Amino acid sequence: MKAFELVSPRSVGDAVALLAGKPGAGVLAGGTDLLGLQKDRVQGPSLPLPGVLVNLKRVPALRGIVKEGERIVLGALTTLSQLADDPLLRSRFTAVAEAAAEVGSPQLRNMGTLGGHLCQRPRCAYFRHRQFVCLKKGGDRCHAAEGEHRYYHAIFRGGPCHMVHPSDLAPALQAFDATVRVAGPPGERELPLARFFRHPEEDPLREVALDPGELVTAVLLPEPPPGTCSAFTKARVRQGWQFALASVAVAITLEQGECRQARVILGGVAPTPYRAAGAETVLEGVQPDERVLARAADAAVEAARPLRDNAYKIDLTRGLVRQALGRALGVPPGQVGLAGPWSGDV
Amino acid sequence: MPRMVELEVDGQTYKVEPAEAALKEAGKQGLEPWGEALAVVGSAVPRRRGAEHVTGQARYSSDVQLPGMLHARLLLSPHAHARVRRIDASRALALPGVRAVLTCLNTDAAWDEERRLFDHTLRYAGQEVAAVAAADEEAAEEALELVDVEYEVLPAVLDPQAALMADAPQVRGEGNLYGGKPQVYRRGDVQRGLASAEVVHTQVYRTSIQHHACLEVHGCVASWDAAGLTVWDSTQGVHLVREELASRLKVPATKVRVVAEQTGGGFGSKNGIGPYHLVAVLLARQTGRPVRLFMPRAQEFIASHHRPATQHELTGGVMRDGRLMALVHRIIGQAGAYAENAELAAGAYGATAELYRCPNVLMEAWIVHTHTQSPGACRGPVGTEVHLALEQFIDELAEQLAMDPLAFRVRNYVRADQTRRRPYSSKALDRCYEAGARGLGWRWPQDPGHGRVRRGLGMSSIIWHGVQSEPSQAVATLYADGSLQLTLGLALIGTGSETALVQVAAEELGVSPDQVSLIIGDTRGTPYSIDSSYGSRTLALVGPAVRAAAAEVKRQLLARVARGLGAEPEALRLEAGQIVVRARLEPPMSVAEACRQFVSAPLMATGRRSRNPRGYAHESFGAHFVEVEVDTETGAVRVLRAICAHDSGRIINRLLAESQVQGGFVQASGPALCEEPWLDPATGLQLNANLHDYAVPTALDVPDEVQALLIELPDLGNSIGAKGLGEPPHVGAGAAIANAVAHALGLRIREYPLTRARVLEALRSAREAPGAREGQASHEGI
Ligand SMILES: Cc1cc2nc3c(=O)[nH]c(=O)nc-3n(C[C@H](O)[C@H](O)[C@H](O)COP(=O)(O)OP(=O)(O)OC[C@H]3O[C@@H](n4cnc5c(N)ncnc54)[C@H](O)[C@@H]3O)c2cc1C
Repeated sequence: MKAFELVSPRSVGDAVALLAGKPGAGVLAGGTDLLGLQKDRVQGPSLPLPGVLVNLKRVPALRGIVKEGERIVLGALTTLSQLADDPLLRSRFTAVAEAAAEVGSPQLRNMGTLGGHLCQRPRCAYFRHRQFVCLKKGGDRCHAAEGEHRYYHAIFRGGPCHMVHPSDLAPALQAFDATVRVAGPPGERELPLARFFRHPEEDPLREVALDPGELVTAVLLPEPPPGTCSAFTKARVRQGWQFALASVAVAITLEQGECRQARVILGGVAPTPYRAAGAETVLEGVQPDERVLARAADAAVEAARPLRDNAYKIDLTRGLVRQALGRALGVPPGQVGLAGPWSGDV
Repeated sequence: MPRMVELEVDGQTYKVEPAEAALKEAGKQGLEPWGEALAVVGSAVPRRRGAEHVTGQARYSSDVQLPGMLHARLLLSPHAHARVRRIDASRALALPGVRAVLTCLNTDAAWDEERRLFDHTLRYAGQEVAAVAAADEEAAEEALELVDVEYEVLPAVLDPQAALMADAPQVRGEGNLYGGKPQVYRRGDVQRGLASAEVVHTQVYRTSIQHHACLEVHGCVASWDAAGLTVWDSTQGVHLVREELASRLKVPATKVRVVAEQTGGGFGSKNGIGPYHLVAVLLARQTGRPVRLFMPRAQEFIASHHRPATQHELTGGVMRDGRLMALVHRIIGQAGAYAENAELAAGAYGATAELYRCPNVLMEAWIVHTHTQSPGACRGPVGTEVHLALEQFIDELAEQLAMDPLAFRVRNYVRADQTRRRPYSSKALDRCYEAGARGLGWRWPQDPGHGRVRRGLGMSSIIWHGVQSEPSQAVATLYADGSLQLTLGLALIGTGSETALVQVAAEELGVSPDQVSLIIGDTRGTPYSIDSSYGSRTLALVGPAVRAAAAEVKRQLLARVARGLGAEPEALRLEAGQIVVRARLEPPMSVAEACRQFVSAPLMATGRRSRNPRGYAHESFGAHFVEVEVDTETGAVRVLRAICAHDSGRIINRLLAESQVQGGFVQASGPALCEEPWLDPATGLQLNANLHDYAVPTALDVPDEVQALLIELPDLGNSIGAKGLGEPPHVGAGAAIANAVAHALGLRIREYPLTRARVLEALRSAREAPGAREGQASHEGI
């Protein structure tokens, strides 16, 4: 690995000041993504390898899960294990805890932090390969468009870069209308998670809307309306230690058996977490039964525009949407011939 | 001339040598086959020093650090085909810490007859362009970026089908078909066989590249001193590495010492030397310092070579009653850019010619050159690919006849090797079928269910070539305190065969395995036990030599005891660890007591393996039975249970044998289900040359049950009765899984791995096929 300078501020203010004073410096949290990029020398004309890393691990204010009025505040240094194990998240924000538990491996969840997770770089193998100077590194084309794109590339809204956002947590957090809190030289600001992620059309070089010198300090979750249930499902190449080929987070608010509000957010299928608005429309205002779920799943993938070799992801995503909805609504998996509206297995 | 006798098998008469005759030649006094009641052999002795491995204390060659040691790195070609137009290492050499840079300009050492170690012409992405030695890894890494190379990129052909086209770029300038023609095996007349068959069926299968993914990467530390060259190597065989280095460097073998205390995985990829050995040795000689060259993970995928991708076209002719009349098997294998290893791309031999009774067989292996790294041996080389295709095709032939695929296999059972016209020294495949079918609960027809999740059962037969006659030596030294030392010239590659070899010696001498210590993993002072541990041979090859050595020190000991007691040596017996003197009143005496009383200077013997009895074919057999679950909505395949029945002769160590079976099954389930390289179609560069994206199975992917059923039929071929077990479990697993998936889905995917992508695509085409009813598409090609 190329040598770098490591600085360890003790407060958010110092961290911001250090970043402002050292243009090109990198932010280091758990290091699970960043150090891999440094070791593999992932760099290009518009992507210099940082020579200075500002280590956030010594900033106590960034740790922990606390209540702040009506909102739950998840500090940027909260580890993915903490998110997966937190009783409040598990009961009230089930999809978030489930998504955290699906990330990588136990080792990664113990090291990886929420802030780093949201700011992780894409898994496109061309981006991460030394020999390819792709759009994200300042090159002039997306090698995946005509190349290898079976697994970690978009079927929705791809182009000019066809990567997908790799995060498992992002769809789950977005399903609960999360907000991101950011600190920078001018002070703090908050923005909805949905606007935190940037599409490559806007800027292929960055996936998140952080200005130079800014860092994520927390993610905030509003209390979900009563009657909200949620679930997260994910498909991967093998059982563990893999990013999503596709993932689905759903949060459904039921009132007397009728769906009042639905959130269906897809991960691993688009350059940003993808809100399947069509599926939400199908669900809202009706009593979800088996047929509704199937229609919602169809609607979720309606706008898909796959690349040459990843059309299977449409079927995959459809299946995952249906399974996520079934799980959130508490349909026993694999149950056949159940009385009531659930006749098929989910 | 040995006495030969007639043996009748399946109505044919063969001439064979009685097995005892060959055993009698072994050692000074000959060896009897072991009986049933054995004290140490067969028991589940835990692996020696196993705890060191799981607690991280085992020392590997990659752990070796020497004073003044330099670190080397390789610069590899980023192009599949290119010429080095200009190369300038001056900026790299100017970097502080850099001691040497080797390139085609300053190094003309040859690698083989075809190419130099650093050639001007590069014929695959990953071929060596330059090497750097520096004071630390960072400087070496940094220096690589400062070697300025100007490449003239030349047209490349990456795909074997394309390489066979008339206008394809020439890889080696003599046509892209290795040897100019396919390799052929022929028996009978397949045209006549097919014409006489009542049902003829053809299918095409594709298998993918598999990498070894060794935890310890390839590499070595090389150091020269007045005594010569010492190489600490991550290898499967210290003696083979020594031979190859000595012959390459034109120095006497005695001036080369190769050490491998432990090896962190080889699976066929660490036999003999690779270019990196020579690079390290040359850099060490040039700089006068020890040089360490271990691959970064991304380069490991090049250094290890790989199991090649293959294509198989199979045509079979059968009678309605299930008799197999003809098999035609055309294989296209990818040889890479050079002749080295080309014959590991594909071969016209093995299961198709041997596994089933079939009078007419034609096999053709088309070995095709492309601008890619050449293949290498990978656990069950060639055979694994052949089984993947053949064993699925056999299932499909059975389907054509609406016959139980297991019954179809039994219908065509054969007891003699049809290719060499010899009876097998032992074959218990029938018992494997029985035990495996019972263990899994095999049923036919199957009911995969109609819901989202379907279940299927699948099975596959296994045949794997065993040890033919090869020499092996082992040295045993019995000390006056009763401790025994075995000195063996082999490397510890992780199978635990050293533990089994200790059991063999302990059994013969009547001592406990704890009394035996080992000198192993070093060419210095060890006999030539094996060139390298490949081909599932180590135990069946070295075990008899160990037994002979132990038997000889036992003979010497008994002679001493007899002399001491004034008894006739013939009156002494060693039984259950006790020396008993016939017709005398002396109380039985343990070996340790006998040593203390009667041995002053240690007793020492070299044991030699006797040859195999003449006239037999030696093979290991097995049958895998698996149950899978497929989620038709998300394409997920999960192996629920695997029952792996193996005929590998006498089982010396049950625990280790079971581990081999479980490890082999799991390793093979990778390329069957999830594991594959991603190759950039434009450049041939591997995009996922890391252990994260190159998805070998993890602990979570291991089925809940992988059960080894070890059918013990001691083999006549050698004095310990063992046959090989390292590769067989890997050879059959993939086909069994694929057959189970096909039965679960009612349709067959003939391309591997069976990823979610392939499963979902297949289900979609079946749905969209005109007139297709789901679950009824079994004969449709996909
Ligand atoms: C082998 C492997 C498997 C994985 N599998 C999965 C998976 O299955 N699903 C999944 O969703 N993810 C997966 N990940 C990604 C993993 O979730 C992230 O690597 C991890 O969460 C990043 O957290 P970190 O604290 O280690 O970040 P770091 O590596 O320290 O940082 C990551 C990036 O975020 C920036 N950063 C860090 N903190 C902040 C902050 N507070 N403000 C602004 N920028 C910041 C860094 O500068 C860097 O660019 C995997 C990663 C690996 C290496």
